[in-house]
Amino acid sequence: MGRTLRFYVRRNLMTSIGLCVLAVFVLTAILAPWIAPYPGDAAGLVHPAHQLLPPSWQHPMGTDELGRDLFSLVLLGSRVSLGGGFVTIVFALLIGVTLGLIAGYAGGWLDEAIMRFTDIVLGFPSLLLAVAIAATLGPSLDHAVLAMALSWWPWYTRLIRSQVLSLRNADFVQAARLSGRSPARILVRHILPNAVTPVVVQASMDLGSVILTLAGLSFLGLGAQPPTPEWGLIIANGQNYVLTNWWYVTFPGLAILLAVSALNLVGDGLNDVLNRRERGVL
Amino acid sequence: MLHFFVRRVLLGVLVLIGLSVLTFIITRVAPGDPAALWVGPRASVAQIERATVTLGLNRPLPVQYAIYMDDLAHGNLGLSIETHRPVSSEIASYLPASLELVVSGIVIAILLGLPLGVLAAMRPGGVFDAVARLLAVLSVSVPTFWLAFLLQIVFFKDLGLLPLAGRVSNLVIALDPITRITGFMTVDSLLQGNWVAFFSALRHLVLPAVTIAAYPFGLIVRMVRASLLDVIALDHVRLLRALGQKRYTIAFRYALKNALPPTLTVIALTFAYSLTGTFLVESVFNWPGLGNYTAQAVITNNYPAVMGVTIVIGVIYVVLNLVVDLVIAGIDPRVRYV
Amino acid sequence: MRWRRLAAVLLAGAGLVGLSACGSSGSTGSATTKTAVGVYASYTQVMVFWDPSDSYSNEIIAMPQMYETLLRYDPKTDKFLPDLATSYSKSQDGLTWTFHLRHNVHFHDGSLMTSQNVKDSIERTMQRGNGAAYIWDAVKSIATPSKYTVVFNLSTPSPIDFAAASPYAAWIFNTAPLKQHGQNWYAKGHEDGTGPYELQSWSSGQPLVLKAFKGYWGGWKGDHYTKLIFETVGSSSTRAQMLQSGQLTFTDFLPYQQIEALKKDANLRVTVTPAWQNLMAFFNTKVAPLNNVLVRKALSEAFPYQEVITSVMHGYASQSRGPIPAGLWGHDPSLPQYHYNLAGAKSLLQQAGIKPGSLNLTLTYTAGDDNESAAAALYKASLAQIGVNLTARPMPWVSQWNLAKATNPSQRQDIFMMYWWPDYANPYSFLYNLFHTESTVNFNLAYYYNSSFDKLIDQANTDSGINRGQAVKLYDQAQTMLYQDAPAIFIFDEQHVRVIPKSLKGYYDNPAYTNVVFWYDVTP
Repeated sequence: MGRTLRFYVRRNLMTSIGLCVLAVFVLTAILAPWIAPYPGDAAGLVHPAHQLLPPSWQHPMGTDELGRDLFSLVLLGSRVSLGGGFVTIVFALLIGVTLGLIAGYAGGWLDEAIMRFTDIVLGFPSLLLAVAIAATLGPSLDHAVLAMALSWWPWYTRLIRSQVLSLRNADFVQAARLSGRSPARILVRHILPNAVTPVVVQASMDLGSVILTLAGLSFLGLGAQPPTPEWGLIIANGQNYVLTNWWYVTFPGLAILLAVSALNLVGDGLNDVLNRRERGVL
Repeated sequence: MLHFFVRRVLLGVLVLIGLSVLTFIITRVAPGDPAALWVGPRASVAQIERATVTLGLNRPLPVQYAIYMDDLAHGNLGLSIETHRPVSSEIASYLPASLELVVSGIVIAILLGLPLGVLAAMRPGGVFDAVARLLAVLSVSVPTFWLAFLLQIVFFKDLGLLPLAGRVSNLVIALDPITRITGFMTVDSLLQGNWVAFFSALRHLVLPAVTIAAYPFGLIVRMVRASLLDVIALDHVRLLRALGQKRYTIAFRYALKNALPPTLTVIALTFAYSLTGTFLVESVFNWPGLGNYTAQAVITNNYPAVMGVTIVIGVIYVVLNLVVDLVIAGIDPRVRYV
Repeated sequence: MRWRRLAAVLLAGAGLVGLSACGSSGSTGSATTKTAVGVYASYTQVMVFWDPSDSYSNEIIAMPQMYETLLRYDPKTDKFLPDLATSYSKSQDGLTWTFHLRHNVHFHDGSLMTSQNVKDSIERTMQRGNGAAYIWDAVKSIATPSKYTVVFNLSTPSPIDFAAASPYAAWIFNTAPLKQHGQNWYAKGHEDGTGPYELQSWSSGQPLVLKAFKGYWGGWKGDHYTKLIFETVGSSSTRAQMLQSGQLTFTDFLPYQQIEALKKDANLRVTVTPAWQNLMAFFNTKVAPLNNVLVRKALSEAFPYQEVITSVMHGYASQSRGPIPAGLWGHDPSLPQYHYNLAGAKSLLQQAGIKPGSLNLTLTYTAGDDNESAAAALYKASLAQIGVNLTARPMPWVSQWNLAKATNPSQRQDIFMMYWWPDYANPYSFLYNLFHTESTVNFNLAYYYNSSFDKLIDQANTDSGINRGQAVKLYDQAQTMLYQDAPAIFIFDEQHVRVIPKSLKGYYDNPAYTNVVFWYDVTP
């Protein structure tokens, strides 16, 4: 029993660490324009005289090939990277939840059509779909976000549909229906609030993966475009200097690693709280 | 069982049809005139007009779709806009390199992840468990392309242990060339007894394979650990413990067997996932695989190539999913009714 | 149990193949002593088009090893060197050109090269009309009066010697295999030229490997590379590293920062040669206020030329004088140019009636080009000082170009930044493509339509087939016209910077053949 207790404490400890790191990142993202020592560098200013300087007090993460302060770029990049991930998830939720609500409530052929379509989109890897869409629409951060959202929503459709199915015949829904409310009103007012929690939890767990994929798209040149400071893009720009100027790719990469790790730790914790199962101990 | 089987296969076919429609639409609505791309940046208007006819772009859309589907059915993925060569033969030329990489990566992930997951599950909450879990979280959170750079800095630049990039050294290409049999250089060189080439190929494989292994490794550790913990909670396992069986014996012999199906599913799925993961890694290691091909195609607006890769990976993905579903259903009859 | 059996099988297999390996390694060992391997790493795909008629891309680095042209052009001495033709002459009117071919030259399949092959090659290239085939547009007919004599009859005077030395659309190849295997035979990855190296192995994604062609007319006495590897290495950091560790003999492109680092390496040396490539920024002369020449002059004076050259190009460029770049015939270092002068720019804007802060401009450049991006950023900073707000937009080339071709001129960009380079040694390529009146927008992205300019350059082009001195004079006048009308900022003429191993001897950077190493001419 003592061991089980310790297990939960440690698990919560990791979750707490994750939460703290996450809080730092969110704060940084919000305050970036005020904390960044050279905010102009992220808007396209260049200082050719300060090319590729190693980390120092002036430039804690060094400078890039155009003399821009990497610390400022990484700080301001947190807005783009974290914000981009967040917007993606929100879009995916909008599509996924809407379709899931309709499918679950309407049933019949509409349900079948929506769910088979969902299966089709789920049927191929999200990065591939995102690459295909982003390559077609042309490279930009907005397109990458759209492409990611278009490949991510089916998970939420499935989740919300199963929730709706279990709620469809609940007493309060029956009551609302008998009192003559429109289906749309019933869905939004009565079913959605009761069905949304697991989906939101799932979405927060996905945030890390989405940010990672978004950085990957930018790395491939399909996401953010210069001079937008985006972590994946900074690494892509820095790849020519990997072996000669180590700091260039190291710090933005560390930022991604820390942010995504924190998100995953928190996600794990959330998952534990929601699906606490009896676990054995040998 | 038959009903389940038919349903799964039909779904797979449906996905593939959806995929083909999607790729057709994408190639046709793509901005930029394909004919203009075909003749290159410096073409005259007359050259573009000729290309429009050559590529059949002057025909009505339904006819184009019919031709496209007919070609697909015959394994013809169209012509690369960049090289004017068949996309299918180019993919056939690049695919083995990726498969060799992904297979090696998955093998590494299993060899490291499986025992680590088991050991972690033996003492949940212990130091070892904490380390394993942290490693697992880090390895699914690390941007693979960044990990690739990190490994290059450490193992090539700092330690000088492993080659920086490429699939085999140039001296081997010039003096001890490997004849292509399977397309897996390590296997082919072994089959031909070409030891110089084999060791060169093996040394070149290490860093990219380890990079590819990171994500599946993290998933496997988590999956093995979680499913073992579930299994251990079951009564018959508790009984074994009560009967005085050694903990390691229980973990590796009895519990792991029960935890294997979900782990296998994860491994199969990460295989397909890793195939797209190569998009981000191969260019860093200059690995002449599908990922490098796609990255190049994306940059040059080579839609037929991007769509060809989409279809090929889509098919692999669908087939793998199908096989996994059927195998799992064979092992665990309950799945069929879900 | 099963595992043990598998291991046994594997071991036995290894033993067997191990034996055969010993057998073969002896022969490889003896070959090693004589084999000199040249490795060329390109930043992009090498063999894009295999067909020598269509070749119009990066395969230029490998084609001259497998194929040859009638002549080779040396811009430094402005002379044509014999290649497959040993001498040539032209008629007074510039309409008849006679080439005398080298005797006893063989294709890689062993057949003899004759005047019929030259005729067949060029006629096929003209008939296919792909890539740079237009260089033969003036040719009316090709005659073969004898086995080793080829005569080009032209419809208008044209410098056919330049076409005959072009790195695109001028290769002499054997058309016999096409009759047997079909017109696609070359495109599938075959070759049959007369060059010093022949194909050993290639497939897409794999390096191109060439080996010495034993029957080459030049013979193989003395030191030569006998094997060549052309591979694609996307990362410049990797190419630099390979160069330092001796795994590479040559690479086509390195960022300037890396060149600075490599300069310190005792085993490497750096060569700098003017490249026939320049960066320009075209004004949209069809919209206000850029339709006012005063504004265009002001914007030309506000460009920080020297800063861009020193800090972006690390000094490996020179400020342009008109569109014809340094190193190409027709370039005139005495032509006028604009200088960085913010005060002058300010007063010009005032004259044009433009108040500070009221002018907003959009500049498009090709996404992914670091030099363009940095130059645009510096220009933006400079313009900000005179109250002009510039938005620099990176776009993929196709989108950038499509925007420039939008039907409504006011929807197009204000300033279009791009490079230009000629297909072969001809200044007309710059002046015609970039500034000649066009009925539909193609590359005249300043939308500059001036009939007297058109007349000048068309006349110059005809003259260049008869009297080059006269042509240069006319080109000078045309370029002065461009200076006065300022339809574009002529930013800089680039230089090729090569970092090569000191052991590579005899390398000569010929801008007429961009990025090409003539491997037969260099020694290991």
